[in-house]
Formats: sequence, structure tokens, C-alpha cells
Amino acid sequence: MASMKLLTAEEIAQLPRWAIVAFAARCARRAQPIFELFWAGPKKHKKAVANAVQVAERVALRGKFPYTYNIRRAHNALYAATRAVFATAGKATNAGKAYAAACAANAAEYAIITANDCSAYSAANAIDYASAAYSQITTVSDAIIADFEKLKQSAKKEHWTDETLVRPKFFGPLWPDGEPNLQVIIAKSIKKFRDREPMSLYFDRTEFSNKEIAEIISMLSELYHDVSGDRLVIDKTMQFTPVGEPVPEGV
Amino acid sequence: MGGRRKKRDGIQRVDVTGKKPELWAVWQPKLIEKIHDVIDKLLSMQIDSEKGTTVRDEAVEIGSLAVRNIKARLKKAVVQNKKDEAEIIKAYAEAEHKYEEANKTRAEARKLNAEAEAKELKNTITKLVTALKLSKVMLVGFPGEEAVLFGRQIGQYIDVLEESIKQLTS
Repeated sequence: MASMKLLTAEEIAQLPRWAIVAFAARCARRAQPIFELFWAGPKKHKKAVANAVQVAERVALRGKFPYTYNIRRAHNALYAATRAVFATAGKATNAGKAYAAACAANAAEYAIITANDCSAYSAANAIDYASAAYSQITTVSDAIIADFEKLKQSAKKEHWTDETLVRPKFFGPLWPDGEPNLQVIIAKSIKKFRDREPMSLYFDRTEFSNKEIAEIISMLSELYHDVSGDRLVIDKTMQFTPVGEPVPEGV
Repeated sequence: MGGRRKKRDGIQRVDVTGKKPELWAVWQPKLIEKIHDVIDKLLSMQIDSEKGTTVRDEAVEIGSLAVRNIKARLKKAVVQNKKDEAEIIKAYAEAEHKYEEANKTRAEARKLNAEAEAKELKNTITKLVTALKLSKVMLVGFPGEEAVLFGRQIGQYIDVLEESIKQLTS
């Protein structure tokens, strides 16, 4: 979480009801690509996070409370996603980023649920988590502040009320000044987490010759290249030798 | 796959990482996702006709076997075999060189056809599944600390593997 708040709940509370929800949704929308990038677990959790952001945007657009069966189901899915990410945080590099992004989606969802009273606090949380997901880089902070200022000015100029609905398109392009540099975020993230360990591959030597082992690693290298553009290198090798009676099959 | 020569007892462990650490730190989980795809394909294909079990069932069985004391059947000492290491590294360098050569022509094709890249990934998975059809692949460990096990008997050595994973990550 950010050590210094970009905006306080009191500042956000000056906005009308649906503007706050739209603002929280917008913050979560910014954080969503970070979840997509850093979450490597079940795909259903990606769907749950994406769905939460979309629902928050729709509520700000239509002004309807989401107390329907589907929304409850979406809430349960989002809760499961956040728990799953939390379970891996600390074990996997960059899981903290995914967790922050999931929390931004949670905050947006909570902004809907509390849209009549304390949604400003949820929106403030959405800001903090979105900012944390991007390692507090200024491109993101500036974009969030610009969204807030735009809402504030329009609300004042056009005399928005708590009934005024806000379309997602109101904000314009997500990154008008260019997308955040993910390499910077990755670099910052790596500083926080230990470098990722090599991956160990264990081959049963009764089945694989040295050449076959090399070929399989080369195929894995191709898979890795497909996702990263990089190739694998062999870090080290070692052997384990069995002793005593061989273990019977099917024991 | 190449000839089935020079096979011995025991387990060969090979640690791999990305050429660029900053990319490895980010993209290793995506590689794990792809390995999951390969495993899923293999699991759906492989059925023990005698027992009527799938490899997925057997993987669970192996997990419970690890609780038993299999350690005694294995030497704790790790063998450093420079000859095997050199052979694997040489064969890998050759395979990578072949890939680079092939990739020069494929890069041109990719520029012309956006679908070619997705097709290529599918082909790689299929190639790997085909190469491993008669074997087993298992993924063990926590997220970020995974190890991949290749081979029918490999579950028998799981205690030693777990220990070595702990050593690696401690």
C-alpha cells in the first residue's frame, strides 16, 4: 500500500454517489492488466477480477444496486480469487502485485455495495491498491489524479447530483499519456522480492538418455520463448543414485 | 526423439532458468501454465489399461507414498557427473542452435501471418506431448518453486526430490 495517500476519502466524498463508484471502477480497471500479467494460477480468477471491474462500471452507468443472484455469485468468485492470490503472496515473485490488483477490484466492488454511505473509503482503497499494483509509479498516480479532477470539475460545472450516472467513456482513454512502462514495474517488483529461483527438472535416467533430456529442455525452451521471447539456459545439473532393493512397481 | 541409448539408473536433475533474469522473474509462471497444458493433455491420454486408472489418479497415489519411508532406498549423496553434464549441455546447445536456424525462417512467416505464432505454440505443446507420450510428467512444489518430474518411476524418489527442492529454496 502507498505510504502517502494520493487522495483521502474525505476528498473523494465530495463527489456525487455514482461518480465515486465510477472512479473506484476506473482505478480497478487500471490495475486489472497487472493481475492479468502477474497471476499465473487458475484462469477463473482472472475472469472473476475482470467481471468485478465490469460490474462496477455498469453500476455507475445504470445506477442500479447489484443485489441480484449473479452479483452475489460474482462476489463469491472475486473473494475466491483474492484468497487464492493471497495464499501465494510471499511464495511467488510478483504475487504481491496480483494481490494489489485483486484488492483494487474488491474495493471497486465494495464501492458499489456501499454506494449510499461510505463508498468514498472503498474508492480511496481502490486508488491505493491500483497505485501499489504499479509500484507507485508517477504515470499511474498522475492518471488517477487526472481522473479525479475531471470528475470534480464536471460535477461542479454540470451540477451533478447523487442521481447523475457516469459512463465509463466519460474518462476517455485509460492511458492518454502513454501506457506505464511495465519493465519499470517489473524491475521495482524484483527489488522487493527475491530473484526467482531456477526451475528444477528431474528425469528418470532409466527412461531418458542425455540427448533426450536435452531435447525436452529445448522444447520447454520453445514454450518459454513463446511466452517471454527469451530462451532457457542450463544453470546446473546433478544426479541422484538409488541404492538397495528397487522399489516394486505399484507400491 | 533421439536414440534410446546410454540410459542408467537414478535421477538426473537439471536446473534451468531464463537467459535474462528480469524476464525469468516475470514469465516463469507463464511457462508453468504451459507445462500445465502439456500435463493436462498427457493425463487425458494416458490410462493404465490393467488398473483402469489415469496418471492423475496415480499422481495422487505417489503423493501418499511419499509419506512412507522411501528415503532409505536412495543414496543421499548427490553424484556430480561431469561427463553427463557436458553431454547434456552439448546436446542442448545443438538443439538450441537448430531452433535458432529454424526460427530465422519462421520469423518471416510470423510477420506475414499473425495466426502463425499461436499455431506455433500449439505445435510446440503437441511436440512435447508426443515426445512424452509413454512417460509421465508431474509438477510438484509451491508456486514460484515448482519442479517438474519426468518419468514413470520418478515418484519413488519423491522424498529425495522434496529434500533437494528445500535445499534449493532455503
